[in-house]
This record gives sequence, C-alpha cells and structure tokens, in this order.
Amino acid sequence: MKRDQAHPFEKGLERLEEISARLDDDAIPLEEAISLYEEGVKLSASLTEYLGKAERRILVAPQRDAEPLTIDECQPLGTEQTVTKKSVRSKKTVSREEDSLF
Amino acid sequence: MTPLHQHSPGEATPVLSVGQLCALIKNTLEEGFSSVLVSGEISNLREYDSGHVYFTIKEAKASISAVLFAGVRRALPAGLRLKDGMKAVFAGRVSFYSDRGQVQIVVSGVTPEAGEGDLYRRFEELKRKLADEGLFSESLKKPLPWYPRRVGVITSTGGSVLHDIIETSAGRAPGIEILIYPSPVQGEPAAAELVAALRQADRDGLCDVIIIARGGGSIEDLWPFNDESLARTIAACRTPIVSGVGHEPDVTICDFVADLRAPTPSTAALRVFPERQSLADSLLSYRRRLHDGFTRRLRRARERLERQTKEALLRGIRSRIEDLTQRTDTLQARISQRTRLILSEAKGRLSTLGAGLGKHDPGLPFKKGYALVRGPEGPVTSADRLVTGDRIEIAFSDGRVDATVTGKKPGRPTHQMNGGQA
Repeated sequence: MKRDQAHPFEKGLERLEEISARLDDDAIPLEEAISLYEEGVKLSASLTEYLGKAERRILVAPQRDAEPLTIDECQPLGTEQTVTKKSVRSKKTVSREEDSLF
Repeated sequence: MTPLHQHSPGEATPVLSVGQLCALIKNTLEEGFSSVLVSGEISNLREYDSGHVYFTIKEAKASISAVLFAGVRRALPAGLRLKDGMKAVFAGRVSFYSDRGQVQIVVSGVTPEAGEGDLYRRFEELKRKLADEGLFSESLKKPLPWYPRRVGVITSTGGSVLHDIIETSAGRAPGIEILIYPSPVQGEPAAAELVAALRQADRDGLCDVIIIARGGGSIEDLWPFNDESLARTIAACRTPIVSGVGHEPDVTICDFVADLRAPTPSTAALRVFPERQSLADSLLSYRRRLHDGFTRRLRRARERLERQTKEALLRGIRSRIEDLTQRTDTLQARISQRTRLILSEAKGRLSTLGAGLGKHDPGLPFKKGYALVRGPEGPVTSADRLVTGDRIEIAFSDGRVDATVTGKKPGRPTHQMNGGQA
C-alpha cells in the first residue's frame, strides 16, 4: 500500500470538501454549480451508506523472514491455522472492490 | 497556656473529648514525625479506583499502615510497580487519621531494595540511555493516518487483547482491514518475536499504522516491551506505531518510543479507528453546506437573470429609439439633399427659362425699329386697311406720335423700313 493512497472514504470526503468549497465560490458558472451539487449529493449519499456497512476483513499474516508479503497471501482470521508456512500462495483472490466505491 | 497533657502534679487530670484527644495526638505525631524513612515489606496492597493505593509496611513483628496517594503514585518512576512482598525504603510522614484513630504513613517516595528493583533499575537505565540518544524525541513521532485502509496488529492470537481490539474497532468506521501479525507477548523469546513481527509488518508495507499490544500484568510480564532491540525497531519503523501495553498505570519503554502511546489495547483501537458517528456528523454538515451553497448560487443566478432581463429590455428600447432617431436623421438628410437638388434643378430651369423668355421681350421689335400702328378701328395689320388721308397713331416703346397717310406704295416691307418711315 502506498502511503499517498488514501482510504476511499477519505478520498470521498476530500472530494466532498472540494465540491463544497467550489460551490461557495460565486464566480463559478451555474452549469458547473448544478453538476457539482449533483455530484456532491450523490457522493455524500454513497458515503453515508458506506458508513452504515459493517463489512471488513480480519486477516492473519503468515510469518516471513525476508520476502515481503502480499495481501493475497494472508488468510482470514480463524482459517489461518490450515495454512502452513510453506503454502504461501493463496488461490483466493481478494476482492478490492472497495477501492472503487466512490 | 499550659498544654492540656502537661498538667502539673497535683492538678486534677482534665477530661478530654475523643476529638480533643485525637487532635492532640495528631498534632504531636505529625509534628514529631513529619519526615521519616522506613524500611519494610509491602503486604495487603489494595488499589482503589481513585488511584490511591493502601498497603501495610511490615517486618517480622511490626507493621504500620501506609497510603500512596494517586498524585504521588503517578510521580513515581515509570516501571516501578508496587506489589505484595516487595521490600523497599519508604519515605513519607506519619499522619493520624482521627476518624478511625489510625496511624499511617503517607508515602512520598519508594526506593526498592537491592534485588527487588533490578528490573526497575534496568528500566530506568535503558530509558535514560534511549532518551539521551533522542529516541523519544517528539520530532521523530510520525502522524497517524486519519482513516487507515489497513491496520496491523502485533499481539498474541491467544489472549483477550486481540478480541478487545476487534470488538472495539467493530463499532468504529467501517472498511478498515485488520492484519494480524501474531507474536508471543510474554516470556523469554517474546521480545525477539515481537521484533521479528514488527520488522516484517513494516517491511511488508501493507498497513498504514501498526498497533503493538498486550494486556496488563506484572513488570516481569510486561518486560519484553522494555527490550532495547524492540525499542530500536519501533524507532526505525517507517509505519506509524501505536503502543497499547498493559493497563492505565503501566508504562514501558515501548510506550516512550512509539509514535503514540495508548494506555490500553482498547484505547489504542479507539485512537486508530476513526469514530463512525463523527464521520456521519461531518457528512451531514457537508450535505448542509452543499445545499446552502447551491441554494445561494441559484438565488444569485435568479437575481442576476432578473437584473439582466430588465437591463436587456431597457437596452432594447434604447437601441430601438436610437435606430429610429438614426433613421429619421437619415431620412431628413436625404430629404434635404433631395430638396436642395430639386431647388438647384428648378433654379437651373428657371435661368434657362429666363434666357428663353428674353427672346420674347415685347420691347425687342421696337428696338429693331418696328412700331405699332393704330387706326380709327384699332391696330392696323395691313396696308390695304388704310387710304391716303387716314389719321393714324404710331406707338413706340417710349411714346406715341400722330400721323397722316400721305400715299400708298405696293410691295412687301423690307427690314430697312420702319414705322417711322411709314
């Protein structure tokens, strides 16, 4: 995970802040104000909906001495005991859909 | 005045109230033992929610109550944990608690005896050493992410700590993954295992922030978190580290060097996982701001439109008037030009006509020598009308003469002839 990549929720809130600040500017054309408002309302609704969700993953990292792990090698909590230290590659591809939520 | 208890022999012993007696004892004791050092062993140690600690300082055949007030306790060196059986030198003053008629030592300092304070002394030494190296410097503290995408947790999978962190974070903002790097947190190999787990977690770079945690315990239990190598590993991490080790009063070297010290594992989770409700609140306020901003923008647009419409109407009327004025001017110009043309044409024609008229000047024949001849019956147009002897009048342009016909001659008049010769 790169440090400059913020959580999608954080990105959403940042965009919302941008939109709000832009809407406060009287100089913007009306057409832009309308599309900004629409975007803002849509975004805040989807962020609110996102907040209501309880989904999250709890993973356990297998032990590694040198080579960095990828997240796909980590197993959900409670199932990690079935993974031996050698069977590093998990076939399970983890959905990253939350990155494109907003 | 003679003190009540120093009455002279022979005087009757005064009767005191309990309160008076207690006050006397209190004064005497507290003045006489305002600063003492007493060596003994802690027993019957009781901690209260207030933070005050009560215990007995005892030796084989003597004991005295002692109290360590919360404020003093917080000022004791970090890592120093009082426990039953611990031998120490206690500094303090003797106080008399009148309500119970009890004597106790109000402790102001604790110095563990040799052997007892080994861990504590090692703790202090390491703390001083690392502090001198600047490892605890505020300038080294990395800021925590506001909304982490993934949180690393270094702890034992066996204890309640992991459960506490998971439970605590469940009520917080959603969509934050937890990645556990299991490590023993107690016993001999724990420090090395913690170091290995932390190094791996930082190297993997999968987490935005890492919590290193364990539950409460004795100073011996928490000792792995006072490991020098662990402290240096934490300081070297690129990822922000939050320590949540032990209970509220427990302090470890790990706490000093971490980017944030949380008093307990649950508190660490509270600090790392953003609060759901405050996010909902800020979303709500964004919505309000959007709505207000847009409404204001719309109102301004409507006002401008109205203003522009009025202005446009006025401008239209004004430009129509200008058009008409201009057209009138043009017409007027054209009319006067035309008039001038007609006039000049008329003038030309008039002068031409004048010239033509000159040819028909009735005076002209007179100038050529013709004259008007009148007989008795009016103008004479033929010689035949006249006979010799007729009286006639000959009219010139400037006058008339009377004449008499004296003879007649045939033939046509010549240009040389004139009336005068007739």
